[in-house]
Amino acid sequence: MNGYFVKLPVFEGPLDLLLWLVKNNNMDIYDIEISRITSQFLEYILASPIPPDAAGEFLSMATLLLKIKSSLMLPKETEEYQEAVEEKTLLEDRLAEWEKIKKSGELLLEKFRGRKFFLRRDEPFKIEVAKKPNFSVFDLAEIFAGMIKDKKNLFETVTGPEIYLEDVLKELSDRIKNHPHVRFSELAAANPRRLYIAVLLLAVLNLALKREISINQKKPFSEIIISRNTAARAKRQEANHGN
Amino acid sequence: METEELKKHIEAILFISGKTVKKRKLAELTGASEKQIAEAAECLQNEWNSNHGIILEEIGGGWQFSTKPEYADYVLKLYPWKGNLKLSKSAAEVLSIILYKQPVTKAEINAIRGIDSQGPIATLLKNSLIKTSGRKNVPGKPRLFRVSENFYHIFGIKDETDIPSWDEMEEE
Repeated sequence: MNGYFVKLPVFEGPLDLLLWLVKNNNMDIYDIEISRITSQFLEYILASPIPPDAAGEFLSMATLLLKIKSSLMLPKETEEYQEAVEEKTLLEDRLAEWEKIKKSGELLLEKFRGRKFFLRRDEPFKIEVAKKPNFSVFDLAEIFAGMIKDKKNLFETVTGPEIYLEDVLKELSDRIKNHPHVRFSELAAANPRRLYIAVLLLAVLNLALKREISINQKKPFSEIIISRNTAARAKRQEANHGN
Repeated sequence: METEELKKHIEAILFISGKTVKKRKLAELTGASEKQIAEAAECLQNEWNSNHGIILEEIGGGWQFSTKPEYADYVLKLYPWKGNLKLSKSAAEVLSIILYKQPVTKAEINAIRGIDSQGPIATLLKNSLIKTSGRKNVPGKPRLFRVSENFYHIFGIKDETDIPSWDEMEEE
């Protein structure tokens, strides 16, 4: 093991990391010490966060390095050894190509900085294209399966808009002002949901308590008739109650 | 056509085009030879580049009028989007691959970089630095990419000879 890395640059891809290791060890691109590079490569990907969308590429490079390294330990006559030599050469060629591309990229960026403020009339418009989410159907399926499996993420019932007693009270008072007698079932039919009906019942009881209405039900579970209390009737009720 | 007359023709064409007009196209439009075009353009360059807010530039195998960098602030006040282009390192690398390997498919770009290049390719397409140019005749018929006309303008490249060759990249 070669000590530890301090303040590592961020590597976008495995070739970037490989090239950096080769340069850092002062190796020739065409004469890589595969075992040293392999252990450093592994050390790096175990110690540092790999960009999540390139994790597979880093791992496949690690696999390739390990395979070359182990095959190169075999006797030279073996087929595996010959194959590994070829693979190593291919990798070195790729690395050399990548180095040139990086150089050219730097060159372009440099030119770009110098040119940035030369403007011409027909500048192509920058067309903003809505970014497609980086997910496939399979990712979605996987996430969904994970949610079901994970007991922590139990599903919750999606509720509609909340119903407030104040709102229903106001509705009811308005209704009663215009109609002296209203049937509970009629009111409930306006929004036939359990929550609304429960709140409606609370509102009816509330108004009855304030003596603004009186309620009448012939027998249990039958229709409830809600009647507006006239001022006089309210007074009488008040008096009765007082006694 | 006299050089003086030819200069005015070229000037008018370049003004109205607003982007690079290739030497070959100028010759075709004016009926002059490419050599005459080059001479006239050089005269125009001398006249324009000294005393004006705009210059005549040799770009991408032709000529174009550009505003001088000294006046970019004012131009950008009028057209803020003209200064919008930002180039990331990965975009510049993908662009380099396309420049040297064109026409090239996304899969070929990915193979060289060792990682997926969808993001940088989308950015380059959006900013017209590359263009699609037909499809490769392999299964899936993938799109082929090339650098665009705008590429030469953005990087101020005169023509193909102004780009270091693939072998030269190694020597540096």
